[in-house]
Amino acid sequence: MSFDSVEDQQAFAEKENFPYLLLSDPDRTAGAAYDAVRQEGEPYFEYGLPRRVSYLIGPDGVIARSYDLTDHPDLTAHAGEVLADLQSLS
Amino acid sequence: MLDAGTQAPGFTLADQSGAQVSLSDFAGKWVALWWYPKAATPG
Repeated sequence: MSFDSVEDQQAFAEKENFPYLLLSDPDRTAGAAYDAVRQEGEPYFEYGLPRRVSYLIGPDGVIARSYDLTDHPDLTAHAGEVLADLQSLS
Repeated sequence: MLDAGTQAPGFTLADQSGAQVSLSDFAGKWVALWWYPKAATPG
């Protein structure tokens, strides 16, 4: 999920052959709800880019885990962490 | 950050094909939401 347009998400998905949904939130409403909007004073605030945050949501619609990657963007490790959490929770 | 135990806020957004996708479409399933800064950049 990001603030990119549908067209940019489509190009990204096709280039990388992503098997999952890339959602477009150009007006940042979902971003605000999930605390992904950078606030003034944060790094990269001026670029208007979402913060790196992730969530695992359970079958009951309740957040089971939340992850703040703002300071530690090791994305490979993060993907493994989310998968391990999913396996232990589900 | 929203803490564990919080009801996940609902949303309806367009996917990369333009189709509308709602969180409620996935009721009963596990969902991973991954925010990234920008399309076509690493991560």
